[in-house]
Order: sequence, then structure tokens, then C-alpha cells
Amino acid sequence: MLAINQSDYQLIDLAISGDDRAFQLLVERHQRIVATASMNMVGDMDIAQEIGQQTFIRFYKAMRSFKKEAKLSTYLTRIAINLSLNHLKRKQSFANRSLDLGKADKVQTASDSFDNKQVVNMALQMLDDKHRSVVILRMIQGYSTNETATLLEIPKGTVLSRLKRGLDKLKKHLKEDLEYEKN
Amino acid sequence: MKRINQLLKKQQYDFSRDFSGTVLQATQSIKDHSPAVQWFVLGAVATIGLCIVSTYLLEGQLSVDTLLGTDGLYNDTLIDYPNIP
Repeated sequence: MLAINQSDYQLIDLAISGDDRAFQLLVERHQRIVATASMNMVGDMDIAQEIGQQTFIRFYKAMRSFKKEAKLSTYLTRIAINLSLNHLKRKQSFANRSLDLGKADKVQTASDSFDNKQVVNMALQMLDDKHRSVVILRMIQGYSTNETATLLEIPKGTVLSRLKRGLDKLKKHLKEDLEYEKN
Repeated sequence: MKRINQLLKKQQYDFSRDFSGTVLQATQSIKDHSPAVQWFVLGAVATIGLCIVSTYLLEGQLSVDTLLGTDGLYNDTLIDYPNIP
């Protein structure tokens, strides 16, 4: 019998034994983490959703070998970030993805602050991939510096320097909007 | 910087409502092509191949009759009529 309060590991065991509902529950439980990581990385909800699907399909294929000492949310975030980075490498054209206002209406918000989210998302897209991934993990997803370093497989010092550089650039990009908001 | 931190914390997103259903559908097609099914198909193909090869080696030719083991029916040597003078 499935219960919402069952742990991720219990649901994984059920999903491995063929319980589709358990797997669906895992997807529902972690979709926001994956959506937040991929949407902030690529800035387009259609692409983010494709990345999200690939993320969960990869997890489904590797479920039997999933080490239960790892946190599922961290594992899924790592896959989502890597798939996003791969996508961005393939699609280098910055101009096409950074300020594509036409696609803004497809963005589904989790709160009421739609305008600010849109502006911040566009500002995020203006950062380098390496800076953006650190800002997303550290400042949006709330991972610690150590966790971010482990997730991205980079030294802790690099996380800190990229975070500082990323936030400085973000501040610069958002300055006009924030000033405008004040007036 | 505090304002930016606040704005960043609000950058949370959700996929569409049918997202989990779509993922589940995709996993169903993976299930259909799961290793167990693939191994079963591979085993069946290998068995048929071995049958063909062994028939050819035993009979020296390949035909529907040799494969079905019915070629001997036409050259029946079991019944020998005694040669009565």
C-alpha cells in the first residue's frame, strides 16, 4: 500500500519491484527540484521539460544501481544540471536563448511574482554556464558550498570564486531593473 | 545584494500537471524493451540458428523437409518386401 509519507528509498524499492505508482510518486515529489534546476539553466520551459523527462528516464534506467546513501534530490539535480549543460554546449547561440521574450508566456510560475521571475531568469541566462550553474545550486537550490562543489565536481574555492563573479554580474544585469523598481 | 538573494530564492518552477504521467508513459516503452525481453528474443533467435546449423551438418542440405525431419518419409526403407523367388 502506497503512502505519501513513505521515504524515497522505500518508493524506489517498490518501483524496482514493478510498482508504477511508486515511481510516479517519486516524480511528483522531485519534479520541482528538477524543474527549477533545468528552467533556470536553459531559460525555456519546453526545453526544461524535455530535460526533466530525460532526467527521470535516466534515473529509471539506473534505479537498480542507485546507492541508497545518496540523496535522491541531489542525484536528480546533478543529472538535470549535466543534461542542461550538455544542451547548452550543443546550442551555443547565446542570442537565441537569452532574451527570447516570445517564449516567456510558456513559463509556469510557482508563485505570483511572475515579472520579477522572468527578469531574473533572463539575467541568469546572460551569465556564463559555469557561473550560472553555481548561482543556481548555491543561491536558488540552497546547496552548501561543499555540496555544490561535489555536484559540479569542482574545487570548493572555484565554487566560491564563480559564485562571487556570478552574483556580481547578476547584480550588474539586474541593476537597471531594480533601480526602475525603486522609482 | 540582499534584494538579489531574495529574488533568486523565488526562482522556483514546476513542470506541467501531466508531467509525471508523460514520464511514466516513457518508462513503459523502456519496460517493453527491457533486458529480460531482449534476452528472451536473443535466446529464441540463437536457438533457431543452432537448429538450422545442426540440421545442415547432419543432413548435408537444407530444405523444409530436412528442417521438419520429414525427408525420410519419401524414401522409406523400413518396409522391405522379402525377395521370394
